[in-house]
Amino acid sequence: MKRSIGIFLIVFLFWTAAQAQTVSVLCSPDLAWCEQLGPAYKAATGNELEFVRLSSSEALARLRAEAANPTFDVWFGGTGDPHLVAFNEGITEFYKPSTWDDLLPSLTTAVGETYIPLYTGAIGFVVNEDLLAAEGVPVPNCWTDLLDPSYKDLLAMPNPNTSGTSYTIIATLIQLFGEEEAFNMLAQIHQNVAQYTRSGGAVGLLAGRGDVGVAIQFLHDGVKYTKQGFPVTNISPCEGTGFEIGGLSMVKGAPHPDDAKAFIEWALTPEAQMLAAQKGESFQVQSNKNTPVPPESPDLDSIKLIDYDFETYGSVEIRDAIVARWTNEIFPVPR
Amino acid sequence: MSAAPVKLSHVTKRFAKDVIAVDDISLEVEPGSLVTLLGPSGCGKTTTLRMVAGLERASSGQIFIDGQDVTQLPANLRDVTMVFQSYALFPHMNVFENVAYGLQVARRPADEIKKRAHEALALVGLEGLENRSTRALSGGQQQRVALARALVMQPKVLLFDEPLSNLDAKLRKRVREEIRDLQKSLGITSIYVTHDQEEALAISDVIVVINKGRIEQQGSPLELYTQPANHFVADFIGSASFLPGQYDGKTVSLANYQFDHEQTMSPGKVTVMVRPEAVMLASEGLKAQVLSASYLGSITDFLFQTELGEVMASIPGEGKMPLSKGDETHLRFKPAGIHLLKPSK
Amino acid sequence: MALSSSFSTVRSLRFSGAWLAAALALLGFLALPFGRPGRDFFTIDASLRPWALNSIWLWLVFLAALAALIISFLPLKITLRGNLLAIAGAIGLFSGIGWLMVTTTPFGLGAMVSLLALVIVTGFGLSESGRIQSDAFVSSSILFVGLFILLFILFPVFTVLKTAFWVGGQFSLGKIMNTLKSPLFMFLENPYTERRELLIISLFAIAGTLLGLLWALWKKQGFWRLALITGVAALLGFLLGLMLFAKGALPTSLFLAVIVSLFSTLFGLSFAILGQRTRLKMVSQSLNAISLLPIITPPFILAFAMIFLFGRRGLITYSVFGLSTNALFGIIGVSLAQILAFTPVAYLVIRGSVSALDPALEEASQTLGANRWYLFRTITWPLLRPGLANAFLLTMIESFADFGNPLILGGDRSYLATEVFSAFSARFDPNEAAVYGLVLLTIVLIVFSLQRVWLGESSFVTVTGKPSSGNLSPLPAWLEAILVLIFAFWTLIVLALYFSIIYGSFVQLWGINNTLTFKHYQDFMNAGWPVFWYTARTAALSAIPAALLGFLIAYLVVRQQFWGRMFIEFGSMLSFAIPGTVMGVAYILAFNTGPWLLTSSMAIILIAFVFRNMPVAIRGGVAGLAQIDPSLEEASTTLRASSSITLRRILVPLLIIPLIGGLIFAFVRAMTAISQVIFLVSPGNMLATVLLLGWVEQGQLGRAAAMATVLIVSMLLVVLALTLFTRNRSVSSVGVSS
Repeated sequence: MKRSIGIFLIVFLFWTAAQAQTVSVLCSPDLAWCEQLGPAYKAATGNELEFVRLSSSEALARLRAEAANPTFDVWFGGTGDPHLVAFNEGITEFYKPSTWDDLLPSLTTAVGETYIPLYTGAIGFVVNEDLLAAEGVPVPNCWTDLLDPSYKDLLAMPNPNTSGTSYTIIATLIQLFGEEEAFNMLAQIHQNVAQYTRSGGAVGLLAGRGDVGVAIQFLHDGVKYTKQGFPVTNISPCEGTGFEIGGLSMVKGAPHPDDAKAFIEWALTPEAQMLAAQKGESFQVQSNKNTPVPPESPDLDSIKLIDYDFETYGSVEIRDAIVARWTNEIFPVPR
Repeated sequence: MSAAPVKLSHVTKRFAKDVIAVDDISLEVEPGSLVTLLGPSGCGKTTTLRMVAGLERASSGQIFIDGQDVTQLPANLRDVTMVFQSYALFPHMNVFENVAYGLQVARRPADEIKKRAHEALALVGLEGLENRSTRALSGGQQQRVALARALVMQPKVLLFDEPLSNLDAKLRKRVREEIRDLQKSLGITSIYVTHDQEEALAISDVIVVINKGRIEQQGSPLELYTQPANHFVADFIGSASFLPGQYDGKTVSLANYQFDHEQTMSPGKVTVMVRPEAVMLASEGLKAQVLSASYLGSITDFLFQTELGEVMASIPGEGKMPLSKGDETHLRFKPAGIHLLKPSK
Repeated sequence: MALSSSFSTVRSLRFSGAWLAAALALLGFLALPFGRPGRDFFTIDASLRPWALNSIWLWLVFLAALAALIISFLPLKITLRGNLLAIAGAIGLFSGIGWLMVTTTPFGLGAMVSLLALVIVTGFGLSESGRIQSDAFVSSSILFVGLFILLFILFPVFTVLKTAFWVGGQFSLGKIMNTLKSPLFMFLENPYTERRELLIISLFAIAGTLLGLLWALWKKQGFWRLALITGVAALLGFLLGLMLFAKGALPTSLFLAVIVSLFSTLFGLSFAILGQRTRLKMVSQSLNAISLLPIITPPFILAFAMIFLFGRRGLITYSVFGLSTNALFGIIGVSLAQILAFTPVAYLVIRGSVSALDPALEEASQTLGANRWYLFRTITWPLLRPGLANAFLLTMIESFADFGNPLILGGDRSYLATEVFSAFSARFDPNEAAVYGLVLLTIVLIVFSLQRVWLGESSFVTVTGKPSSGNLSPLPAWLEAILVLIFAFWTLIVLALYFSIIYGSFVQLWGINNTLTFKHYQDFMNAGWPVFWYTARTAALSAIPAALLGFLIAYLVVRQQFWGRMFIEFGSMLSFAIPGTVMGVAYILAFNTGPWLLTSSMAIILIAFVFRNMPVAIRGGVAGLAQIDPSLEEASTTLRASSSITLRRILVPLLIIPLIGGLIFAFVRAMTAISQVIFLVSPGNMLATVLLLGWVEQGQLGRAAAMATVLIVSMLLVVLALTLFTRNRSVSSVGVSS
């Protein structure tokens, strides 16, 4: 027993020791993209990279939980709101990269000096036209189309209790139609929803497999499913739509601050950002204006983007209030 | 090898709060002698033995081996070994490995282990069986392996926990002789637990009769048989009949039958213990009627009804049944088979 | 007669063996930092060396270790020396732990070495003083096991309790009230529906009360029993109403658990009867194979495969039956997946009592000529009942604790087990997660104690049962036909599910583009293999201490008498009963900050695996020890072997088969676990099941199928290897002495 404890301790110590001197990344975009970071970063700089993939709200939860003893150096990607929350709570700190001026000005002005814009993408409908045709309903073009009872059991959207994407959808509706009207619409959409999913990316899969006809989510995720071979097309709502700014933040008290900065510098180069579409199955518009826009990406110029108020809707209180209202007033209504 | 004395001083073992298995036992074992703890099952004899081994620890009192207080010493640090009722041979080891185990644990050099294991096996007559699996041995052979395994350690004290109870009757007799011879020639202090009084009488230097956790009597087999201290001992060792009588310091009166008897005993009411072999048929004496008779060849066992109670008798036969059921006769007792006890309530 | 010259085998007791441990404690104290600045054990921070900290607590640790070293060599009476050692050890331990707790500094290497060494010192002391009546190995083991259970089972559970009641630094019932009032948890009266749920549920409760009262009166029960029966009936009525009409995690999970355990028990019973009585050899053989499936399959994989068979465009629902429905997502889908997964568990439990059933049944029917109903009521049912109840309650616990299936198929309903996770990781509300955990824990412990009280089960549920042999009368032909049909149908579905996973790993896009490809295996090799390999290594590394610790606990509990044995039994039982998600949230709450900081390391995953899978080994050890004559160990002891030598040279060789069984099952369970470790993965410490779940959620179906296939096949191989290994050694050779 004593001997086995000894052996165990030694093994344990070596294992822990082997984990030094790498940058730890909390990665929120698509797993395929996250997986490309390590090899590319090593090829470019010779340094090691470890990551864990967590959706943006899970990532925020994790960072909060570890605020006293951070394990991560950088938070890479994920919807901007949680990045803003993290910055406001002092979990992350702003680092101004040398490439700051190369980033799309529309993005940098929208976020100010809170987090670094990494990419942007718009909310829309990911539609399985085969299923809709089989069910005999038209392809929706506008938010208001979704209210039609003929879509019953054919819609899917994420649950705002677990998904940042879902919150962006609700916040978009509120900014388009006002809070009362937006909740009216949500109540009617609720009647048509077949399933609220836990994560924002999963709804497109439901549409792709033909479990639902219309998935409300980020359009670049829809592109991913199209590329994978699922029979889905992407539609941007006629009234206009909200968008996200994917964030990049340095964790406050990062265990390896220098590695964190080096990684951030690298991540904003066009070479690094091109990875997303080339190998990472991610088709957001990247923040560096020198990064070529992938041909598959939804053309943001042709999408009617609203003037999304990141400051207001990024605040924790407003977010909690909106999610609570949805949970209490919409979610329990039978359908 | 120096034989060591064992001493138990006011040893008590409590299991749960109020279950007393061994109650204030004091006992001295002479170096080189074989002492038997005898008693009915559940009387505490095995618990006493296990306390000497260290497999149980005394709740109070002290145990000394060779003058050293070992009361709190763990079993593996005591210089004793034990032969178990089930033999407890290690089933995954062969005969040699079983015998060598203790020496290996003590980290003796390999050639010494080999030499001594062979000696021990030779001692119990098992040379040549070293590589046998223990399961391929007969019960008697297994018993000897267990004995060799205990002897090879040259313990100060050797403990036996009902070692013969798994053998058949004939083998039992032979093995107990062998144990006795071996013990005597090696001069190892031994404590032996059994519930079989015949076995105890046959092998012991001293027998300690235990009942309900207490010592009833200790002494040589002869003492215990001829001068039992009480009804329990008299009844447990050998068989006996008990009759109420009177003693005036010189003469015993059983109803109208009187005979002389010398024993330091205060006059008054007594219980007269009568061994079956002390009973003789006579024309006068204690009046009796035959309740049953069984002819056993050399002797005939009778059960008589007398006015004082039933009397068992073993009468040497002379080729014919002297009496049969229902016959009336008189009984007389040989003095050697008579012992007076305090009257039982 | 001759025996070679004498030697003394008795080791000297002039000094205590504790000196070595005391010296180690001193060395650890002096050479290594007592605390650490953050997660890393190897950042040697000079300010955290004991003399730099200069705290009275730490000087006490030093003095205690020094005192123990000196006392070890003092020529005292052994019991007195033992007492002194135990006191010194305990003082050192308490002051060391006290300093860590008071300053909330994460423990460093020095603390680890010197505190563990002080435990051994205390163990020596307790043994030598006779307070623990065995040798130092056993008493140190008892202390270690007790401390481990305290630290890695009870302390996390306590932290959950604390987090539920202790919000923002003060005691508050607010979080509990808020959570319990949330529609996610339970929704009694739904203002958006026509019907009055609260009223209906109350009516159910009242109906229950009345029925209970009538029944008790009819049976002429005394007042207290009458009150009890009425109360239970009222509660049951209320729960039934709740399950049927309320919404939210509690009613959903409750409803699910009842449905799943009913059906699993029913199927388990059918299969048990079939397996014992059928003349078709193939059926009984495949039954045994099927009972292995849930062990080798990560729980959510079947759910994942079900989507492709029963989803809106599922092969069976749509292509075969032309149904276009989303009904799979929700209670129907989850209950189907759970019934498939838990029926084998029920089967294994019931098999034992079915085999006990037959002789009595046959004899009674032949000799007494009783009618069938009477026979059933008086003989069959009482014999069957414990097995059925056991299976029912066990599957109920499994259903409550199940995390993967609701996550994949749950639709938008909430379930207690997933809500623990969502509350923690998506809403980041540790207090809310703790409340959910507490609710789940309470329910599971109630069911568990019901099982123990009702059935008088020993701590470790026997999921074994020997199939009886002998000449049993065959089943009536019609019954056998029905049972075979059910079984065939069940097998077909299970096979179809497994096949669809394997198929999915070889085609471009499951269900849409059926071109054959090896691309997913390439993807798996690139993205999944390192994680898979890491998981296998971690699982293997955890299996060794899990099996050894389990065996040690079995040995201590079965063979040793000591104060606190009940505590160890209870603690180990707890680690078996607590749902994985609750333990996961408990670990992250307990080990994330403060003196026991361990999160984001391989260590915490190892520890989680060890304590989660240890009960399997305990069960194996308890069963194995029951087969071994204790006098074997006593013989070894009287031959001078310490208990560690006896364990190593006698018990381990004799129990090698259950030991290896425990090892393998600890490994397999670690490989397929998800509910607890999903909280604990960190950079560089990613696990295969968590990655697999991520892939499923992210729509990487092909490579998810590839990884699932690799996982299932490798676990199958491991379990098959074990079966072959144990079959080649006759079980009778496992030391049963005469």
